[in-house]
Amino acid sequence: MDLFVKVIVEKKDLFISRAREELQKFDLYKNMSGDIFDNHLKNFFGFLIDCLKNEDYQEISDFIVNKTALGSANLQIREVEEVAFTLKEIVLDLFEEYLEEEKLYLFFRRLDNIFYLIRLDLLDKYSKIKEEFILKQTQSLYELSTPVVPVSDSTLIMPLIGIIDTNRGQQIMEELLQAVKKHQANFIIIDVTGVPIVDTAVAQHIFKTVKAAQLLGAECIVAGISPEVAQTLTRLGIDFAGIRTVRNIRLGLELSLKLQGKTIVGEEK
Amino acid sequence: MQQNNKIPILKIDDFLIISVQIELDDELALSLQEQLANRIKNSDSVEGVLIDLTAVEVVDSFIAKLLGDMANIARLMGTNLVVTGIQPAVAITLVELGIELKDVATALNLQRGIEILRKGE
Repeated sequence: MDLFVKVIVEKKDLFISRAREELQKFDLYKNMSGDIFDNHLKNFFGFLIDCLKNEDYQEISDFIVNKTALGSANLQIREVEEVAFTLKEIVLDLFEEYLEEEKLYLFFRRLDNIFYLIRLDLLDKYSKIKEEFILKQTQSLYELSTPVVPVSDSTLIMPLIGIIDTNRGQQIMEELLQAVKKHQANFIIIDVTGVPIVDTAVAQHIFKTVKAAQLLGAECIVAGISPEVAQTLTRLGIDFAGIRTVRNIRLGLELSLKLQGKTIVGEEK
Repeated sequence: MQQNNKIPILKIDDFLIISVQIELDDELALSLQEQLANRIKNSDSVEGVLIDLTAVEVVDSFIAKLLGDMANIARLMGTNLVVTGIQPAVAITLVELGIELKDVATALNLQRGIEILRKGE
C-alpha cells in the first residue's frame, strides 16, 4: 500500500480539483459554499490517506456520516453510492501513468475492497439514520393523533383521524383511560368521522376501549360512523350492541347531558 | 366475630369500605367474603359496600371472581356493591384477557362510588 499512498499524497491537488469538478454535478453539492466544500474535500482526503495506510474504514465512514452532507436523513441511497463511485474513479485515475498491468490489478483489487467496505458500513449507518427518523415521525404522528379534549367537567371528546393499526389501537386505549382518570370524566365521546376504515380489528379495539372505560366508571359514546363504515360493519357481522352510537359530536354532547339529567338552557333576559 | 387484621372492613356513615392493599390468596379471599356477609348482617343499616382497588396493580381471574362473588353476596343480603379505583393498566389487562366483571358496578374513585350508591341504582 505504501507506494500507492505515496502516489495519492503526491497528487493531492489534482485529486481535490478533480473531486471539486466532478462532485459539483450532484444536486447535493450544488448549493454548498466553495469554502465549506473545499474544507470537506481536504478533510476527506486526510481521512482517505489514513484509511488506505491502516486499511481501516471506520474513521472515514464516521466522518462522512457525521460531518458531511452525505449524513443527511433526506438522502437517497443511490446518491450516496454515486458519490462514492465517483470518488473511487478519481483515485484510480491518479494511477493511470504509473503501474504495469499486474500491479495495477492487485492495487485495484485492494482499493476496491476498501471502498466496498466503506460503502457497506455507510449503508448500514445510513439505514439506521433512516429508521430512527421514521420511528420519530411515527411517534409524532401517534402523539398528534390521539388528542383528548375536555368540553365540560364531566365529558371528554377524543377525535380520531386516520388508520388505526394494532399499535395505535393500544395507544388510544391507554391514552383514553389515563385521560378519564386525569379529568375524572363520566363520559367520553369517541369521534370516528376521520377514521376511513373500521374493520374487525378496529371494532375490537373500540370494544375493548369502551369496556375498559366502563371499569373506570366512564361511559363511551361513539360518534360519526360513516355510511360506508356502517355497511362494512354490518357485512362483517360485527355487532355494536351495548355501545351507544350517535351521528356526530354535537348529538353525542346532547346525549351525555341527557344521561346526566341535564340540559342547556338560555338565560332569562 | 373474627376480624382479620390484614384487610379491615371500615365503616363511614352507612357505607362499608374495603381497601385492598395486599395480595389475596384463597384463604384470605374466603375469610373476607365471610366477614363482609357478617358485617352486613350485624350493621344497623348499610347503604352500600365499596371495594377500592387503587393500590392493586395486578388483577387476575381469581380476583375478578372474588369481586363478582362479593357483589352477589351483598345483593342477596339486600345491599349494593361498587368496585372503585381500578387503574388504567389493570382495566386494560382485564379487557385484553377477556375477564368480565359481570354484574359488578364500577366507579372511578370512592367519592363517585358513594354517589352511585346514594342514588340507589
